[in-house]
Amino acid sequence: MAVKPLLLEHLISAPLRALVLGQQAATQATADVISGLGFEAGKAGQPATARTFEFEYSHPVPDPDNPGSTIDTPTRVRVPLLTLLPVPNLRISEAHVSFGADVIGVQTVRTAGHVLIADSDRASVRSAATRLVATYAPSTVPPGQPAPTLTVSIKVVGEQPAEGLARVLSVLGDAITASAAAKPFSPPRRPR
Amino acid sequence: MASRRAKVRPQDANDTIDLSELAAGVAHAVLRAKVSLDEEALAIANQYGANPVFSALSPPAFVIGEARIAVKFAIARVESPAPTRRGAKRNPAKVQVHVTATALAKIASHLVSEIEFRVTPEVKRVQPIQQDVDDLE
Repeated sequence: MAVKPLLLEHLISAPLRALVLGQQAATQATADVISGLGFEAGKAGQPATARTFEFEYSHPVPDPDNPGSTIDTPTRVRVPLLTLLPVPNLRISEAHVSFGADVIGVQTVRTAGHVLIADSDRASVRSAATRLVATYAPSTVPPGQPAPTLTVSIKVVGEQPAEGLARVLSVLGDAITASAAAKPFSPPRRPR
Repeated sequence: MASRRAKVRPQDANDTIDLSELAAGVAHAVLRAKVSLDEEALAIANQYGANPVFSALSPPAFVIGEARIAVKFAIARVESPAPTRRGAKRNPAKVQVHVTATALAKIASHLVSEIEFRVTPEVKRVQPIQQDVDDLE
């Protein structure tokens, strides 16, 4: 398998960038659920509206004329759909990236501009940066084959997410309303 | 931050590298990888901000907890500096090493060593020097 030589920084950053893109794909799935299931597209120039689930039930209300008894009052409840369904929200919380590589060369890049002067000895930091050029190599090799000359193991931790989604659900939860049903509600008759 | 010229100078013919430069190169690679990671996350975060649905979600953000990089090497030569007036400690010896797979394959395995770098993030806050504090008082 021919593998293109790359700078070590590119070998390391490639799987890290893949984590970002993977997290974006997971978030995209979440957004698709939110926008597709939870909201209806508004008309031209109008904002989207939250899909709601409506139902009626008989709500017992104390009878003011007859203390101790209740009156079954027909009530209509409107609940935003998103508050009823679990929203898939996956997050890469931690990743361990390990791979092997073979160093195939070293490059020295001359730098221009700043040269740091450390102290009275005027010891200056070298104005050249060394970069390793390497290729990916299998981490495990058959007996007799040389092991990779460089192994990398990186622990990556996902930063805590913002509370945006929780706040959206909280706002929608506050929007749950209950109102008197328009039509008179006929409770089922009790058998005598 | 030093500005860099896009000019790459090939390594010397002996295919060796100073051990200190190897350490600097590894640290630089991890740092650049972290910068690349942040750039990718920032670009996506900007896309999130422009989208009404995505703006309620968390843009991906990662931090490197720890990076371990083990490099096999073989000592090629040790250069002893000429003594100076300040003594030899002021001008330590330079250790030249082989790190390329091609070079190491030609060297007996018992002569090949390994050095592991553990790179962890550390946030340093700028501390005012004592003289500035005295001036303020």
